[in-house]
Amino acid sequence: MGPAVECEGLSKTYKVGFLARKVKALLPIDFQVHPGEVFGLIGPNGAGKSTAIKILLNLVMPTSGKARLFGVDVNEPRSRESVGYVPEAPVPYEHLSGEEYLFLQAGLAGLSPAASRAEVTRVLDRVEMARHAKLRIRQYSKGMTQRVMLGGALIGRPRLLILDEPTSGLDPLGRRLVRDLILELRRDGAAVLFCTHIMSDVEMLCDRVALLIGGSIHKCGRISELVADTRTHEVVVDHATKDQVLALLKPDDLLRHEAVAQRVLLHVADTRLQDVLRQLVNGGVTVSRIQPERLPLEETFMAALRASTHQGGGLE
Amino acid sequence: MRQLSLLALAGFREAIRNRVTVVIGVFALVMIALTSVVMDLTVLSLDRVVTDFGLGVMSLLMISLAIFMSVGMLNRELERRTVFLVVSRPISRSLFIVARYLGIMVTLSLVLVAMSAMYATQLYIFDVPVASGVPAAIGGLWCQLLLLSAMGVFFSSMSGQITSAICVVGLYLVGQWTADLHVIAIKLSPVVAAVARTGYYVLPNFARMDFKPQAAAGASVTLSEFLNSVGTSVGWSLLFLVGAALLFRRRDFK
Repeated sequence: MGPAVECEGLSKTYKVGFLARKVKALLPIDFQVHPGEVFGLIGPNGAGKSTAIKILLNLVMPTSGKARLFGVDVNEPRSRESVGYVPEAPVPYEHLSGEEYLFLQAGLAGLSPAASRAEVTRVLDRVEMARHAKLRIRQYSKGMTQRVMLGGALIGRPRLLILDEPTSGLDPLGRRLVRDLILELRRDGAAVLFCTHIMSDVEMLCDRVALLIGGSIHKCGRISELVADTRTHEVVVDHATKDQVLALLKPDDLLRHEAVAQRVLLHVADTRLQDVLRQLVNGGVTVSRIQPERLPLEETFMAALRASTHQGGGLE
Repeated sequence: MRQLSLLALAGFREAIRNRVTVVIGVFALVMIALTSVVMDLTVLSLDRVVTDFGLGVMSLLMISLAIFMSVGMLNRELERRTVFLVVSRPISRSLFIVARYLGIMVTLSLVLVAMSAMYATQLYIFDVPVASGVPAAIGGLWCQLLLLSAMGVFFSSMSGQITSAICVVGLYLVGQWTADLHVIAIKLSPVVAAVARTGYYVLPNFARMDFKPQAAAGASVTLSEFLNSVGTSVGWSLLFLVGAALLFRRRDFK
């Protein structure tokens, strides 16, 4: 089976203002999302994540490059036959009830009236909104609105779900629901493409990640591949002076070190951890705690962002 | 086809739930209040005044409503991002434009029918006979609404709400006066006359769809005159809709 999403040299330059000033939102990027895979697009605000998603849904025209969904060019409406989408901070048709909105989505997805009824009932149950189905959307809370929007995206059992910041503004229960849905879709063989700022969600859900900075893909791959070179641990040594500890180690064993009260804190790269521990134990000092430092992906993200800023990264 | 009707119905439902029907109430109140005043003040034939006044108020309200709905429709969709939820489905943007236009026209048509019924009731109450030109005037008004809505959709497919409104109102006013401008321009200079003649032929002629004067005067409107206005309206509307669809096809939704 071919990829659910294919992007080749996709770029976008917006023309802004009366003088049509050119603003590059996306430099040529390439990536693929395969069926049964959860793919995360992460990056700071203005990195081009939403632009990439909008190009895939034909909401924005690419300046160059090709994008295909299930092998069909995104310019063709049939490319979106089996796609569900939840935009960032959506404001749906507030004059409709949740049920009417889902009926509309079912009809637009090409379902017959009978199939629409069955599908709307299924989806309302799935997003736990059956009790509020008859209320107008303008009466919903933010979380309820997000659930209905998610329901709309699930209509017709999509083979590709595209989510733009799906958990922002949701309470813990709502976030849990979104995560469960994503994992359920993956189990069923659907592809999920989503962008978010919440790194814990990315680490929990994504098979692969593309880190977008300044409109280009800085890194792309499995999370374990992306974070391998930045994973560090904090090793806490009690009842020893800094000099005693440093005397046991080679200079390149440590990323940095500090003395706090009666303790010495050592920051050690993942690849050096075993050696450092062996030398400390052999030297007779007490290691009281070893813990991973920060979230590895967040660290990668921040490091890439810092590097990009130092290099004068960013788009105009 | 189902997608088209669903979207058109959603547009109609939105208009009704956003209380567009208030216009009908406004019409009723204005008619009852002002007709009573006019009856006391007029020195002309009451039949003519009531007929003319009723059609005039109906025309003013309906044209304002058509401009308001058509120029606001696409921009509201873009501001609220509701367009994302529709265009990301397997439908073309052209279908979206046509469906939204149909939604507006269904709403306007029903409001016009309701107003016409109210107008007929008023004529009956004031014992004013229905002139033979009145149905044609109402039909002509519907043709104007058809064209105005298409113009509104066309302009809002490429620009903001205020710009679109200015363009539609401008074209409507010029379209009402193209024939008069042509007659005046001929008397000025050959260059001005040529410009006016071009405008006369190139711009939509709304005066051709306006049968209020005939209705007020009790004159009848021939079938060919009426069909001519229908043809003009339908032709121009199609042209504007095709333009809107072409422009909307390439528009970025940021």
